[in-house]
Amino acid sequence: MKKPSKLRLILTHAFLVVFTISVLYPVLWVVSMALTPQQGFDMSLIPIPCFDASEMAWRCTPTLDNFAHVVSTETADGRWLFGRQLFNSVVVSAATTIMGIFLACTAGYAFSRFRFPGRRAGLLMFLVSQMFPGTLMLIPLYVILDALGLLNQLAGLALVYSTTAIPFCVWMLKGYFDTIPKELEESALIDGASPFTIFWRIILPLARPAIAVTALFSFMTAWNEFILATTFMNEETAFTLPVTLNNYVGQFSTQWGYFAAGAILVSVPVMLLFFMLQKHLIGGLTAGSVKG
Amino acid sequence: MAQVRLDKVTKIYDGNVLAVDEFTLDIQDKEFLVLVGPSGCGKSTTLRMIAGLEEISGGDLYIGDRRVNDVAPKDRDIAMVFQNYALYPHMSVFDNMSFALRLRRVSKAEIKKQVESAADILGIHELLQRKPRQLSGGQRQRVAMGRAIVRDPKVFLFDEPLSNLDAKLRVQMRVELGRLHARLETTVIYVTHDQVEAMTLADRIVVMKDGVVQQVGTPMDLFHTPTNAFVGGFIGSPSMNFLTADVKSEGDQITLTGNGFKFILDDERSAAVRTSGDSQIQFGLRPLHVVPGEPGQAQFSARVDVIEPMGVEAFYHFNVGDAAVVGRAEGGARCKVGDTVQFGVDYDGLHLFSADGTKRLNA
Repeated sequence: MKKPSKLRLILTHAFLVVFTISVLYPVLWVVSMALTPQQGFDMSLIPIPCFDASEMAWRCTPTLDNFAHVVSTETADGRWLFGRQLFNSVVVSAATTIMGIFLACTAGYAFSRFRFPGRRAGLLMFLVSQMFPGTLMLIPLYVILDALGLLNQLAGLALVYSTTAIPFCVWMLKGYFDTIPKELEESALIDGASPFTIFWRIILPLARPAIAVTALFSFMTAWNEFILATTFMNEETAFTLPVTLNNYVGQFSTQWGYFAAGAILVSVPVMLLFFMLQKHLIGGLTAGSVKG
Repeated sequence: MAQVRLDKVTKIYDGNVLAVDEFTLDIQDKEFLVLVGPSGCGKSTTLRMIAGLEEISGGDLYIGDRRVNDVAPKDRDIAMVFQNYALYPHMSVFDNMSFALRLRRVSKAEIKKQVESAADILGIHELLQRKPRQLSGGQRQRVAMGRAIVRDPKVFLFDEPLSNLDAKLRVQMRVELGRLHARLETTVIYVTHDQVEAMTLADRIVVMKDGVVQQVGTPMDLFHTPTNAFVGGFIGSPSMNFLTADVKSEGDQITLTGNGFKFILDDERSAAVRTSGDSQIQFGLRPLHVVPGEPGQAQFSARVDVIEPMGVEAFYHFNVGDAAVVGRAEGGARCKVGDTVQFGVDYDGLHLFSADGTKRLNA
């Protein structure tokens, strides 16, 4: 490869720096607000906690009090509310992920390998369902959950999240399964493997990158979702974390410090997941482009 | 004992596309049989029907004495090597080779013994712990064969196994395959589009076209007496030259005339043409029988367009009328490009076909 010229190198880096800053700037604001003891909405030019840029002076001392407050919230009868809501979020997200992956793997495989009546229609329906915003389904879903007696239940929320996550996951996995050569399965068939063995011992291990992406997507769908959760859940012990976060935003005043601290806490697990799955994600997102 | 018998085996796709039409053949125990033909001729479909990967639309398939039309692939006692090797990418070479045995719940010690013995045959012992992606094309090919050997099948099926290798490696693996067959003494059914592989490896060759068997025979049978123009053109390199000629009767003799040549046939060949009653025929001549600067029994006189010296021999390209013809002689070039040269034709190499090329006229 030709070595790029110096000017080109400088321009490239300048471009990257500008965009990195524009991406990180709002995040820095949130961090700054989370570390400022006041609950104000401080939009100073330089997002440094407690630093007044216009007067070039420190207004207060940055603290972790906001985090402590958010984590230690309790119910009226003195039970640990944050813990309970974290548990809710984890359970709902984990259930969504497991259900999403299980069903999407099996469905994606069927769509990829078998020819059956309704195959095309099914795939198209999955695609069409992705074109509507989730809120459009709010009322029908509410009615259905009510009829099933699943309102205010984590199971109900997990069920709704799975159904919204699955279409994307099925398409994603089907696309990946399509790239796995059919000869591998034929070879396994001659070797004496049953269809289930082929799926379990040949296909799934090979689809790991795609499954990692799908898992992350399912998890994030559930973890970050707010509108459905706030509609279906009406007891604070049943809330997921995004709902709680929103409660710091009041009609007349907003506790921005708590909100920012909460937002950071909520994003930590997702970031960790990203780091853990990073290696697979790169393979998964470029899936199908290069066959090794 | 592992004869394979195909009795009018037919494959029809989607109810109307005829892929293989009444394929009938007895494949002997320990025979190396090659199915050859252009792409889309049904050779791979035939192999896949024998493997059990395609359903048989009509006819009967026997492996040994058992009719296996409805037997699952794993119970047919076959092993197959695919063009792209189909090694399981996430398993080590050892695991790839032992997969079938593990599924059959063979004991660990026995698996180890079998895999190692196969690895020794193929010289891949030091690769057993590697993953397929860490192997070269030739090594992958060996592993794929090893996986087949480990299963100790009655019949080996090969689907264009050398097509993904580069030219040099292909020649090398071809020789190894021949050696392997001699050593294992198992029935082999081998699909290829490469007539050189077919000629060099086969005990018998089946030439297919459009789902129909054109000819079955030993490589030399096919080379010396192709039953139609297609087989004549397909087998042999460089390919047979074809010319169309008008048939004229002059006394007892038959003459073949066309744009740029006139052949007076001998008695035997005259009789063959006369029996057919055709007024126009097609004939084939291998380059081997068109020799520059020799008298022959008939002659072409033509300007040489291209000369391809190969060392031991040279090929001469020229035109007779509209037809491109290739001649051959041993040694280096005997003339220069642009020279007008006399090419002698040897009637021993004259293959007479009906005008449409479907029927052979001479013995």
